[in-house]
Amino acid sequence: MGGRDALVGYVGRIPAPVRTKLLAAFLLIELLLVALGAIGLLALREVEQRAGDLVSLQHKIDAYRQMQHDTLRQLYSVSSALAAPDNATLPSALRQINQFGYDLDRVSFVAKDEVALLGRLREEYSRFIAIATRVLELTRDGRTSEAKQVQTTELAPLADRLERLTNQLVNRAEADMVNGVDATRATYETSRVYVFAFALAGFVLTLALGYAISWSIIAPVQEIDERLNRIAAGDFSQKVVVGNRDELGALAEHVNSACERLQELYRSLQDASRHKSQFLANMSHELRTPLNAILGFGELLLDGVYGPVPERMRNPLERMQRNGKHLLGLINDILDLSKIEAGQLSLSVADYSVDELVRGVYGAVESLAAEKKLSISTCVPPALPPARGDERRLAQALLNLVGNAIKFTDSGEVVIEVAARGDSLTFSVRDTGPGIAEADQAKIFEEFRQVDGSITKTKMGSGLGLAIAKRIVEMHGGRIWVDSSPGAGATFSFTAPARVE
Amino acid sequence: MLPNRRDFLLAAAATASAGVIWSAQRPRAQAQEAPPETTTIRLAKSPSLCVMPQYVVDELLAAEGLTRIEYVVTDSGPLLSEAIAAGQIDFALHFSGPLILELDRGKKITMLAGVHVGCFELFAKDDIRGIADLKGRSVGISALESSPHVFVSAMAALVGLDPAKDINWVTSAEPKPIELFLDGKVDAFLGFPPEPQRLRAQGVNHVIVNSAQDRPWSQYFCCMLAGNPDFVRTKPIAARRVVRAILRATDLCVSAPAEVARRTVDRGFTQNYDYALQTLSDVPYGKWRDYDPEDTIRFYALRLHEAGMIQSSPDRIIAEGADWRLLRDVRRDLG
Repeated sequence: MGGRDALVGYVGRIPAPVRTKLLAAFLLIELLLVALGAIGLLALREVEQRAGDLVSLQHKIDAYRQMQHDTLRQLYSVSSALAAPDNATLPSALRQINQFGYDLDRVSFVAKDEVALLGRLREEYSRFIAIATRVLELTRDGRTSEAKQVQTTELAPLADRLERLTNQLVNRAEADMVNGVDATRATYETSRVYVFAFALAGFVLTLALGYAISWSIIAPVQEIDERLNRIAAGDFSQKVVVGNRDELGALAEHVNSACERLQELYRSLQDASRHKSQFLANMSHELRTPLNAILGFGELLLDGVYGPVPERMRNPLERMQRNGKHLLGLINDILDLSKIEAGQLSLSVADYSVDELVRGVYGAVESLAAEKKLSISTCVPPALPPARGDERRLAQALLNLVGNAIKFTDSGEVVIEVAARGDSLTFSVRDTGPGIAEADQAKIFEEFRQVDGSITKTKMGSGLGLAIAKRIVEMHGGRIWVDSSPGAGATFSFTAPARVE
Repeated sequence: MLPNRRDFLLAAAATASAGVIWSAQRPRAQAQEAPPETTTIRLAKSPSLCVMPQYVVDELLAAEGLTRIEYVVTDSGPLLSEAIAAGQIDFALHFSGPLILELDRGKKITMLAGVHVGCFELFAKDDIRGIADLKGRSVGISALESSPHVFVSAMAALVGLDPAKDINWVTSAEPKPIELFLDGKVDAFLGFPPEPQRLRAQGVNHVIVNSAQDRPWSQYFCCMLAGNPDFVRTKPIAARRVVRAILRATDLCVSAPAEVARRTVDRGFTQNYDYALQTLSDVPYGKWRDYDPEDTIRFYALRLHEAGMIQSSPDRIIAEGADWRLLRDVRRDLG
């Protein structure tokens, strides 16, 4: 592992462009292939040379055998001439003897390396020819018994010696053939080892280079990608550390410098956002005070504290009251969101009863559901142990979800469910409303975003309820999501740790 | 085995009649040599009679200053080769085939000279007329890699048979292969003296190969003088004297066969004087000056290579297992 990473690191640290590294790797592999081919060609050439040598040796052996054959034929001719000396056999035998030169010349031609042995052979042959000629001359002169004596005592042993000499030549040539075959086999074995070694080396080198080069590219890219993801998530704290001294190294440097500049910009934006939120929080607070006064006096007017309200004024007053309450809701939402963004909202953690939390929410919205003739129900597991968290804020988040469900559901039901899984609680609000397309599901948790502006207008709402719920849930360490499809209603759920410390 | 007075007298008579030992040049040549590094040598004692020079060499060795001769009893097969390689025997006359097999295995043996030409005869049933007819037939041998096994394998390889597959080898130390052949239990049998002489005496005459007469076998040595390489290397003077004594004894086999046969019987190497004498007549002992021992090794190495019995090349066998320097010296000494 260490060696592999070291190789990757080494390749990355080579101060050359990636293109050059790739070209160098391909060139190296090509060189190996060329070397492999060269070895094969050399082996073939050696085998071809050895095959030629073996053919030459075979020629030698043929020539030696021919000489042996002719020697025996001479002996036979001489013997025939001795057995039946006449005008036919004697000239024939003499003619054949004189043809010995051909055999010697042939042997001398094919066996130039056997100088000493050929010298002895030529010498013995000269003696053999001389004695055979003498035997024939004695026979021709009618001195047959003398000729037989010379043949037995001189010619036959000489022929024997010649045979052994040619045998030596044949055996040497055959031994050379064995050596040649062994050498060819050894060449083959050596070539096989070389070819296998080069092929293996090529294979390993190709894998190693491919691995090293690809990872020297992939690893920095992954590093940069991960870094960019962190930047996208708002984390500017770390730098991209890449050992490459090529284009990727330069890219990593650029990413780092861009990150530093983004971090500065982000801090500026955070400061600006905090100031904005602070301003909004202050403004919301300042707006609520007079608005509460207006609503209070409106309520007193409608209740007839200041005398009976003329019938024709009741409707405008009620409208003022409704819109005032809506405006107060909007201001409250903006105030909450601003507090959260400004970091001024802290959780008040205490033990609470999940059942009571749900019943509270239920009680707050029961009349709204009844007005729209919607069925509303709750489903809480019995005997849940007390949970710990900010009950008021969790109830606010749940209330936002239930309020939205009632608001956007024209008929059917709304169900509030709680499930305990391990150390967390899951709160769900299921409705039979119009449902939300998948493309819209991600953006509905963003501030001031709603699925359909026309619906917003008719249903009223600031578009901050889900954003606030999301922030509250995330402050508790949970998450929020929606399961829905158009026409099939929606289920909004969030989790919260059962016990927040 | 120390020679006694009678031995010396016999040796003197025999060698004097041969005119070899007491020739004019011998004292001169020997006088120039330093004394041998040892006075003791170990020779092989095997059942074969063709190595008779080995059995009558003790007086000649004594004359060379090697006065203490030990005969180590062994067979004439692979054990003899192994004993030479292992240094249990210093020198022995042995057929070159098993020596080549041993060399091929990487064992150390040094062949020093050729001693005599063919002593083996291949007896066969009447319906077998040549080596090629041995295909699918049974051949009796005392052991695998024994001299007969190696020799018949070489013969079979020469005519294109695969000795390992084409011949049914019947291995039997007891009863001996010759008995199996006489009982008709094997189809062929390669005999070495005194077995051929005994078979002929019993009227068994169907010989398909006589290595003393038939080509190509008759063109090569049969038994070679082989020595332990350590002995040869560390005691070159003694080794040279052994080579000289053995070749003189070989000459005696030609010049005084009756004396050699008698002596072989007297010394207890055989009981049958006639077989011994016949062996000396049948085996060509007088060829060691004419034949080339190196070519013999090359020839048999080629045949055994063909038979697949060795892997080494003939040149390698020669390079690692032959040393002719002593032979050349002795040739100069003996003429």
